[in-house]
Amino acid sequence: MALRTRKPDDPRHLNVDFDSEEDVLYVSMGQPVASHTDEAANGVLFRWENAGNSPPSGVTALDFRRNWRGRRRSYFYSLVAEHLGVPVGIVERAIREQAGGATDEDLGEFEEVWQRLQAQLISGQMIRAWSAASEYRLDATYQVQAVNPSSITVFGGKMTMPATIPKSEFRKVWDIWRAYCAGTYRREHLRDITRFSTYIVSILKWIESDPSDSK
Amino acid sequence: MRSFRPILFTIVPVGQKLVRGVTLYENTWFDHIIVGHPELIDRLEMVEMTIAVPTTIYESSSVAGSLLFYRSGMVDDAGRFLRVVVGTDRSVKSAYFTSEHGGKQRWP
Repeated sequence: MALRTRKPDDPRHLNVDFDSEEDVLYVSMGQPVASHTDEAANGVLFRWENAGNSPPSGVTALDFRRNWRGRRRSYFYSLVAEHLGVPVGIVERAIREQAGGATDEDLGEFEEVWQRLQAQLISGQMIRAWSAASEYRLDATYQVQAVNPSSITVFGGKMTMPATIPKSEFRKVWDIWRAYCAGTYRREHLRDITRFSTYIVSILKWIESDPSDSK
Repeated sequence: MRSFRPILFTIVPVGQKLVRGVTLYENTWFDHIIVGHPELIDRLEMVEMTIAVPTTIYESSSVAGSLLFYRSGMVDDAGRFLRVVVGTDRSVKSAYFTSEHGGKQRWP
């Protein structure tokens, strides 16, 4: 068996692979080896080598982009560094160099959608209620009352007062948007994510369709 | 939008009503899971059996909306369970051996 020597100052000694479609990041000390896994919070899996005295062999992160956005990512780097016994800067460099662009792709996609909403959604715009199950048969409309950089305000349907929906709530729905549209994410789970789900899915559907058709 | 991805298999797990079908994509298995978790090389059949005929399904406590599939007898040399993680879009996200169940039991 080849002996693995640790070179903690060399980021190339960390092997990083990112499955962008399933949003799973694999970080290994050198080439990945047969291991077993302990699960921690936020989808982090600590891996331990099966051979020898089970030294730490890597970290797998499920839902990496969703769980470790923005400033939280620094904390993830520190978790990996602590588990593998390498400096946190090396971990950060390895992930940035080997998977950096891909790991930010989804966040960029949401920002693009949010920018399109900011540009195309105007005060007074009517949005037809939509859901994956009923499509446009819900027989309700909402009127956009304000579009701000950090929120969108709507009123209509059975609402008794306008609802100001923060950008962060849109982000939550965007994370499961494809699954919801495909019918594989259940409506009741969507309601657990945000109390604004009815309006957000209608607005996201509106921006995904050709907005010029509804003017 | 998601581009075309070759499918390794789509299976409807028997005896449960939580999911209609679970899909494992080729690139997820060959390019990521067995690369990052090489202990699963040559264990595709175990993954397939675990999804097809699970004995318990848990809801992950650490990955929102994900389900964890187990099948009794699907263990490694040390007796650790094979856990298959199925995401919200009902595709296999990853798989690995672990000594603990996790989350809340959803089925049976």
